[in-house]
Parts: sequence; structure tokens; C-alpha cells
Amino acid sequence: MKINEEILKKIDINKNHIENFSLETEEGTKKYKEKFTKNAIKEKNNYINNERNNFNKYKEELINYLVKEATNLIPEKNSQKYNSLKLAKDKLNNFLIDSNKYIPVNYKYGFSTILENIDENISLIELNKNIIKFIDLFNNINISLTEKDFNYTMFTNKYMKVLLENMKENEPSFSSIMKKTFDNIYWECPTLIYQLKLNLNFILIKYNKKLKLILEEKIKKTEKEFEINKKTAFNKYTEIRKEYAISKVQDEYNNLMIFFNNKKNINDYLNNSEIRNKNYNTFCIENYNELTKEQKQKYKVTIIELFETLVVLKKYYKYENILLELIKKYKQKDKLKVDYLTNSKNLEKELKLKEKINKNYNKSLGLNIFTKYNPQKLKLNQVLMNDKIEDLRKLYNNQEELEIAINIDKYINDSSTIYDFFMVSTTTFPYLIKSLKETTDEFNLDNELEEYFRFLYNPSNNFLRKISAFSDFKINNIISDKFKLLGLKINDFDIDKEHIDMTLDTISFINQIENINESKITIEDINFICKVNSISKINIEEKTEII
Amino acid sequence: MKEKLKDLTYDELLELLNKIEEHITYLQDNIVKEGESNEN
Repeated sequence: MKINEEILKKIDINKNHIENFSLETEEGTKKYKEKFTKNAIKEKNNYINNERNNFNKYKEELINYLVKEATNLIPEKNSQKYNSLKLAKDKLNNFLIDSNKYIPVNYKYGFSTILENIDENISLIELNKNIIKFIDLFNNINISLTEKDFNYTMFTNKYMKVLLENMKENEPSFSSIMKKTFDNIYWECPTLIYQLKLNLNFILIKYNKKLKLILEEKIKKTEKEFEINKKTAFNKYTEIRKEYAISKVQDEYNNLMIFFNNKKNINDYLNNSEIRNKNYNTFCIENYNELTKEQKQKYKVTIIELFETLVVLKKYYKYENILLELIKKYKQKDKLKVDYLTNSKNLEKELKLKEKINKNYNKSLGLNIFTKYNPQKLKLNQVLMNDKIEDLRKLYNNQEELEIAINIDKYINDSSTIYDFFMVSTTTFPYLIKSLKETTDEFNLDNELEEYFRFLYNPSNNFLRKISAFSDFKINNIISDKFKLLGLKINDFDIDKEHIDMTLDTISFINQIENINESKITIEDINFICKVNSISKINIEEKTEII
Repeated sequence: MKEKLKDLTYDELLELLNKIEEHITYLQDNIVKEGESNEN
């Protein structure tokens, strides 16, 4: 007999005994009857207490056994497993960015984000940190910036001279020296931060060719390492990115944790769950449970493809305004191009004037025998420089706005795809940042850029690469029609801006089950672990991580 | 008991725990307190 049957039999015997226990007698005197009842109650209670102790012991033993069994089922946490894949994926992602003709070289090195960080609201500590980071990035490629590189204006030169002399890590006096220097210059030059930013930009223009050459060497090195070239890199990246994603979503420990930490309710995912049946049937023309094994497999593959497509579509909705704005600019490109050229000429002219002011200022310092120290001219040139910077500021701002039109003219034509337009958005970094800021309420530069490039290099964004940017078709129509042809029950309404999240939730639910089915843990095991954990807390940390 | 538990499936184990807990409650409820008779 199995132990559960044995115990159920004991329960029946217990119940039978308790229910037939006689506490009263008809016979004897009243005193005898009272004594009988008193003894009978004592005897019954002794019996019950004894049995209660026995069953508490069974319970304790059974719980210990359950916890042990459940703990044995918990898979080992092994996040290190994917590290090599993640490294390869990130390296190839960098390669794709580095070798992309659209993306400016300054972004590829990380200079663009430094420049973006420097604005009028930056703290002095952050300003210095960003400048030092800028210098370090140059050091990393064996270019050592000196005082001579920071002569955009007399003010930037003065500030940077002190910074370069005192630029030591963890030097306690560094902050106070720089604060004193900044305060001294600030009264003569309230736009010092902006001038420093212009100086950094000027350095990037100066070293542009060298930066491009060094980058080409880096690209060649990665080509050798992965046995790829600019044409095959995307396929290799796609392959590794998919492998990495599959390893992560099919990881048994990660899948368990989703339910163990109550992010999702395991009851919804069990075989007989109504929610599970409803979700599986959402996109299935027939009843899912009545499909053959082959039909189920086909359904699963199509659902995964739909999920990957919708992830891109959701991002497309986020970035749609970037596309519309660029199309608008494409239509006005001829006028914008003329404006750009005019602005460029003015900028060139003003830069020459700025240089002249710099020269006059240096002459007034009286540093050699041909010049004479002239404090009045020094002061005058400082004032002139501040005015000139304001003229330049306007022209630079115009340039940032207009530069994108030149790139649109260079890369776009009437047969360009949606993808071509998105790629052009990356050609002018300030324009891209400004556009990305409009896509979100909580802007974080690094996160937004990473997300945008992930979108651009998503292996499932094929439809963006094929659909013309000037097409009249609605993108959700094209996608829903494609998946209808593949046998899914879906319409354009399900995947429009308002409903895509709900649809993605349903598909994610199905994918979650399919991913668990492909992993080394079953839904039933996860259910058992969660149930046991609700009875007696399982210490999951006891499972050590394999390195 | 441990050895015998190995023969049960996870569902049977959880079901058994449920039955045992129910029975412990039953036993608890059947303790006769002072002044009560078996009619209670």
C-alpha cells in the first residue's frame, strides 16, 4: 500500500473511532454517570491529542521532504553562461556602428555624448569630468592633447592650461584650483562653458582625419577576429544576437524566478488554465487544443515571428515622428540646402574674424620683442571675443538644424525606404538627440541611444528595410496581412498604436510557455516549487552560482 | 516514511499534505472542553 493510502486509512480509522466514542452511559447512579463521562472525555481527549501529535509529525516530515524535493528541482543560477555571447554581440554591435557610413566618427568614439553632456546647466565637477574623459579618449588612441589644442579663445586657453597642469586623479586640491580658475575667468567670460564646448568640437574637426584612420584599423581588427567584412557583419550579428536572446529566454533559472518572485501567476500557465486556453486561441483560427502536433509547431514558429515583428513595430511607433519630420525636410531639401550653404559661408567668415581677435589678443600680451604689452587692447579683444562667440552660437545652432538637410540630400531619393530615413537621422548627432528627446518624457542619453541603435540593428526590422518611406499603405495593415497569410487570426486593429501592448502581452504569454517547454524545467516543476514555497519558504540563495 | 514518500507524485504529495492538515483541524475541533458533552 502506498503511504498516502496508508495515511488516508489512518484518518478514516481516527474519524470512526472519534465519532463512536461514547461519553455518556444510561446505567448506574448519577454520580457513576458523571464519573463515567469525566473519564470518557479524558480518554477521548488523550486519544485525539495523541493522534494530533502523530499527524503533526507526519506533516513536519512531509513538509521537510517537499522542501528538499523542491530545492533539488531549482536550477543553478548561471548568468556567466551568456557572458561570452553578450561580449561577442556587443563587439559586433560596435562594429556595425563603427563601419556604418551614416554615423559620424565622433559618436563612434564616444565624443558626441561628452559634448551633449556639456550645457549651461552642468556643474563644475561634471564639466571637468567630461573634459578629462574627452582627453582620456584621445589618450586611449595615443593622441596626447596639449595646451595648444585648447586655444579656441583666450578664455578656454587660460582655463585649460590650469586644468592640464593639475589634471591628476583623486588630487584633493584639483576641485578647489579649478573652481578658483573658473570664478576668475567667469567674470570676464560668462559663456566659458559654451566656449569650452566649442573648443572640444574644434579639436574633433582638427583631428577628424586621424580619428577616421584609427577607426579603420579597429574595424579591420574586428573583421579578422570574427572572420567578417562590412557586408557579412550584420548576418553574424543577427546570428549571435538571436543565440544570446534564446539562451536568456530559455534559461530555466530565469523562467523559474518570474513565477517564484510572483511577477506572474503560475496558475494561469498550467495546462488546464482558462487564461492559457484563451490566449492560445486568440490568434488561432481553429481550437488550439485540437491542432495536430505539426500544426502546433507551425503556430509556435509564426507566433515567435509575429512577436519579434511587433517588438520592432512598437519601437517604430515610438520613433515615427522622427521619420515624418525627415520626410518633411526631404520635401524642403532644396531650400534647406541653400540655407545651409549660406550659413556655412557666414560661419566660415565669423570663424576667421574670431581667429583675428585671438591673434590681436596674443599680440597685446607682449610676449615677444615685436609686440608690446597693452592692457587696454587685451580688455578690448576679450570683449570682442565674447561678442563674436554670441554670433557664432547663432550660426552653430542654425548649422545643427540645417546639416541634416545636406545629409538627406546626400543619402535619400524618391525610392528610399523607412530604414534609410532612420539611418539618416543618425548622421547629425545634435539633431538625433533633439529628436529622441521628443520621443520620451524621461530622457536618459545613453539609454535612449542604446535603444535607438538596438531598434536600427534589430534582425526583425526587415519590413522597415523594404517598405518605401513614401508609401501610402499603413504599416499595421501590411504586417497584419502578412501574418494572416501565414495562418494567424489577426487584424490591423490588434496591432495599431492603441492595441499593440495588449497584443504583445498575449503573445508574450504564449512565448513564455513555449520558452519554458524548450528549457530544462517544466511548468509543472515550477508550479510544484512555487506551491512548496508558499507552504514553507525555500532559501533559493543556497543554490550557488556556477562560474 | 521518507522512503515511502518517494513513491508519490508531486501532486499526490501536495494532496496528502492537504488531507493531513484537514485532519489536524478535525482533531483539534473534536477535543472536548470542560462542561461539553459528546453532543457538541
